[in-house]
Amino acid sequence: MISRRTLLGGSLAAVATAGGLSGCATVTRSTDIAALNRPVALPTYKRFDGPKPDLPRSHPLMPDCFYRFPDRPVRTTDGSPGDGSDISGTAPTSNPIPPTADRNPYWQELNRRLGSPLALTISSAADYPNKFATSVAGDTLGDLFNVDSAFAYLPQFLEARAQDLTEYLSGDAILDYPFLANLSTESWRGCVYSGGIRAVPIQRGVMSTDLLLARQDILDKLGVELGSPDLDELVKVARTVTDEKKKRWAFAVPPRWALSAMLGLPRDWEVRDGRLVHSWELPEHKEMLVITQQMASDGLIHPDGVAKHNQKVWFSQGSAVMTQDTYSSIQSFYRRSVVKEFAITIPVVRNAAGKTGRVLLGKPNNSIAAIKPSSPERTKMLLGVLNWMAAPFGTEEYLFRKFGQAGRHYTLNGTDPVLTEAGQSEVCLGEFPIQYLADGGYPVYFPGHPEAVDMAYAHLEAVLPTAVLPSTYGLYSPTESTKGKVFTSRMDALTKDIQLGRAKPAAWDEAVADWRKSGGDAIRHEYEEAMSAQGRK
Amino acid sequence: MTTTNLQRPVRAPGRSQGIEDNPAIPVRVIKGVVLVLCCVVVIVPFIGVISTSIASQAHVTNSGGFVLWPDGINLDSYRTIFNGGVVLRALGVSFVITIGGTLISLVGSTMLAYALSRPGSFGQRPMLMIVLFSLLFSPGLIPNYLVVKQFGLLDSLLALILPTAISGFNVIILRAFFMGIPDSVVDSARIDGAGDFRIFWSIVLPLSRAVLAVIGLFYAVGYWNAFFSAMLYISDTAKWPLQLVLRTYVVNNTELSSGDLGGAGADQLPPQESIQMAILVVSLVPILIVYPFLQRHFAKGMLTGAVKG
Repeated sequence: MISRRTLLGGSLAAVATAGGLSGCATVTRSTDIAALNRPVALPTYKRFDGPKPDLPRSHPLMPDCFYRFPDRPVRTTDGSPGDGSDISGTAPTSNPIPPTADRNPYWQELNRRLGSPLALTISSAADYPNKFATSVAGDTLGDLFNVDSAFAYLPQFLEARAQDLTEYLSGDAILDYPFLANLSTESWRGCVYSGGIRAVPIQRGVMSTDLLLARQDILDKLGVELGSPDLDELVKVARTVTDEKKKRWAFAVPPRWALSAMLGLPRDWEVRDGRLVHSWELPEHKEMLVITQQMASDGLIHPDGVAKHNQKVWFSQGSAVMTQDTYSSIQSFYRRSVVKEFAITIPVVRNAAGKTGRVLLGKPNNSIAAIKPSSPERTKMLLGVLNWMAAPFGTEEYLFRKFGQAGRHYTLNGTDPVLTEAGQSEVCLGEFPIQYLADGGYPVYFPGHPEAVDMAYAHLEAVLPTAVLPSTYGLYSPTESTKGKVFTSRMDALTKDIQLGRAKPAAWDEAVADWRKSGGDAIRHEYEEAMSAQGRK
Repeated sequence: MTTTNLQRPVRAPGRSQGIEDNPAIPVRVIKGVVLVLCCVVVIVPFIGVISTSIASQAHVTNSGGFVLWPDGINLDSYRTIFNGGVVLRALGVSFVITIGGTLISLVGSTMLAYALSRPGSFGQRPMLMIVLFSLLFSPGLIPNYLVVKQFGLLDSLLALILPTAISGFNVIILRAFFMGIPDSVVDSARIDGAGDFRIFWSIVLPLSRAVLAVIGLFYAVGYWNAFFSAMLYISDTAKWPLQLVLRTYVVNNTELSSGDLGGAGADQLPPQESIQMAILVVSLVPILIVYPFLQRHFAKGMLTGAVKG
């Protein structure tokens, strides 16, 4: 029964919206770029002394590569990180939503191991921004929450609503949390706002790099050699494999990232001649649009590939011979495969000079996760929980986190865990949403497919020496934060129009001029100021 | 004896040939072609959805994920989703919300509309203004969320019903309909000793079956299709309605696991696209079944309510 007091409170709740955000009154002004980008001593990186990778780490950015799960994984923590009190959280997921804790033995065991009951609000990743915004307003994010990186005025939000973790994590202080200390320095840059460490990274490293993936089994069947193609060779292969009558197209989507590597384009911003330039401004970007338009008009791209992105399905089913996705997607493609001979290859693309195309590495982090402002004791406890969730590959904690309990959730194929039916559902295909609150570094490990590990390793070895990290990662631009999404969707819409032949490539110049005037130049200026503030220039 | 005037009505001078006249054959053909095309545009996606849901794995694969005409009937997708698990549970939740919500909405809306249709009712003018105000201004996402939270309705199915229980538009339609009921009927009942509730229940509602059917359908379709409020207010996935499941697994293309589908063996799972399309069909069928039964009331219910004000 709703009491009179509740009724009155509910009626007044709408009026209280502004009041709920009153904490923002003391945060950094959005015009103070230097203060918003003030650096802080990043956490000390200390590599966890875990199982030795099966392949050597030939480059500092090379992830650990494993053919199979280490035999007899060791438990590396004592006791439980929790203190018995309830812990709540909010996280997105791109995987099946798990059954609720009362119907989920994995979740119940997770609570037992954490030493505190964990209540999670889970939304699908596509809906997460809406859920996040309303949860911010309603103050229902909980103790631990994944942060929507596109949330406007993010530094100010984190200042007001997230615990400043600097004193707990900066420098050597992080060594109290050895699994968090095992996360790369580059990934911590994305957690610093307004001169403080405000979150922990959900690190993906180079595994989130966008690449051209090809169906080796289909190429073999057709007797086509893809090799290490330049633009002409790629188009030639595309023409050979495309057969509209058999409903088979070369590309699931316009191969933007392969073309960017061939043409030497940056992902977005890049310092050239001492000045930041955006990919959109470069003549090669327009060239890329013309190339993809030609590919689309020649019927080399899946008919729905420009307008609608369902590339995972088309690639898995063989309607598209090549697609664009990440190293970490490889396992999901093997899982979705509908033919036994399914095999993927990642071609090392070459530029016009015949050299390895410069690959644009993905952002170091998938996202970041923050802690609600709490007492020092509770903050330490919550950091302990996040540390537990970041246990690295090869540990017993990792095995439980990703695969659940032996027998019920997984069986062993050699030393590789294979999810059972209950495991698929209760552990969400091995990606239970706590992985969006904290996670260890992603290894190159595709259980049951050691050949895919070799293939990914060979590709990484070839491209890492010339690959580039996003140059503005860890920098904050207020204009980008408030208007960036609109600019991106506008330019994306024009890109599609050009690729579909609904707009002329010449329209691009006008759009870029408009973008520069309405905010692009301001973003450039803010990023340059931010770089100065962080001493990156 | 009655006679029938077979003479064609004389067209007013200067008036162009209207749709009530018998058009020339080419015009009829063009109209026919256009109407057939419109029907095809509407029907083909439906056929595709149904075909994909009953197609075999090989056919779905060869057709790039969307089958226009199946090579046989394979009901594995339907067996899988009705095997228990997330879809069946969500279907149950959707029925509860739709039936419960429609009843609450109809009771609330008819009582409000009747009160607003009777001049001299207590607070009639200000209440009418509030209803009209709600047509012009909506409260917005965040204030709505805060109100739901403050009432303690987060994670409750009532959060999917109460905030949208009364639609200003539907109240106005109902009010207009009720105003069309002659005062003499109401006055006669009153002379016979009936009170307000008796008049409402025994006189007004039986006379308003057409508009109640239409408004009931409006509410039912609204509750059946609602996913956004569930996404915002419901954290417990066991309380998700079918449309949110549909959005998660079909629109957002989230992978379904065998456990989500009631424990069908992973090896025997039909193709993902067939399961997605089967969920889509399941979400369409209840409304498709109800619609024809209420269609006959549509013209009367809508027009009577719409043209009086």
